[in-house]
Amino acid sequence: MKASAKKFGETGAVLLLSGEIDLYSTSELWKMVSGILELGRKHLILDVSDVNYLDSSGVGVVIRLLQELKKQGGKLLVAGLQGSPRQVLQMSNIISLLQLCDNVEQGRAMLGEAI
Amino acid sequence: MFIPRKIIIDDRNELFDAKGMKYVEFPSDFSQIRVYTAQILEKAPETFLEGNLLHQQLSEIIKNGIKHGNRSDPSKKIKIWFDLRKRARFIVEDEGEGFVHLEEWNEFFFKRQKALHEADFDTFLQLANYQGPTSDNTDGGNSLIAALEYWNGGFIFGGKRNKVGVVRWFSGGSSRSENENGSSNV
Repeated sequence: MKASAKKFGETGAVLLLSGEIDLYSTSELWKMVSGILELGRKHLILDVSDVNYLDSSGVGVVIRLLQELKKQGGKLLVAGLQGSPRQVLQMSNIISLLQLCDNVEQGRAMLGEAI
Repeated sequence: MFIPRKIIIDDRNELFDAKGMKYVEFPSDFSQIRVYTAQILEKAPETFLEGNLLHQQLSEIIKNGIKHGNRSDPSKKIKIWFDLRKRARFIVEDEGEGFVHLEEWNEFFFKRQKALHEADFDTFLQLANYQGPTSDNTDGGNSLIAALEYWNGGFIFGGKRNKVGVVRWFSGGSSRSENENGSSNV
């Protein structure tokens, strides 16, 4: 897994993820996500268009992120979800909790003035 | 109509009939889970792989056995019977005490399904992940939920709760001949 983050606006951030999000990489991912939340970035766009593997540990990170953002009054958008990661989120019913967008630009437009 | 799913225990279920299945066993090395999976699926028909879904779902079962069953004790084995002819079928057994919180998990899952059915998304979010006594950051708390969906021919626990039998059927069937992977009829 590769991960990087970019801030936008007062409270927004894009997390660009690629590769495989699995039981061996989610601790590192959660550490990064926690760091972003601690900086007060509560409107997040998760760009997963280059993620080709997602397991239950990765889904768990998405769930914990949703739970945290709800407490903080933030929002999560998921950009470019496709392939087996999309199927895994469907099978665990988590897709029903997600706001999806085609790409980061669309996500930023959807967040609008919230950030 | 709300028809909840749940995990079933049935030691006499036909899913535990290992006759004709191939067998492998591995030490409980957490770092090798996906390597074990890749080894088992090396000769799986392409149509069964569905991208990497089969790999992902089998890895979840092996992970549960190694981590929660065997507590990653390398002296304990994870035992796997498999048959990749016509459908993907596995029996995975660990040497642990079994899924002692199974009833508690079923209660959790019932509430989760009810919240989703009623579109009560606040409650659903609170119930989105199950955290048991041995859960940590590498446990998403949702693998069994996806498993019940994915294994469309059954996902059954054995009587001692340390063994699961699973099957997934594929609408396209297998493109390989029956003898090609060396399995015989079950």
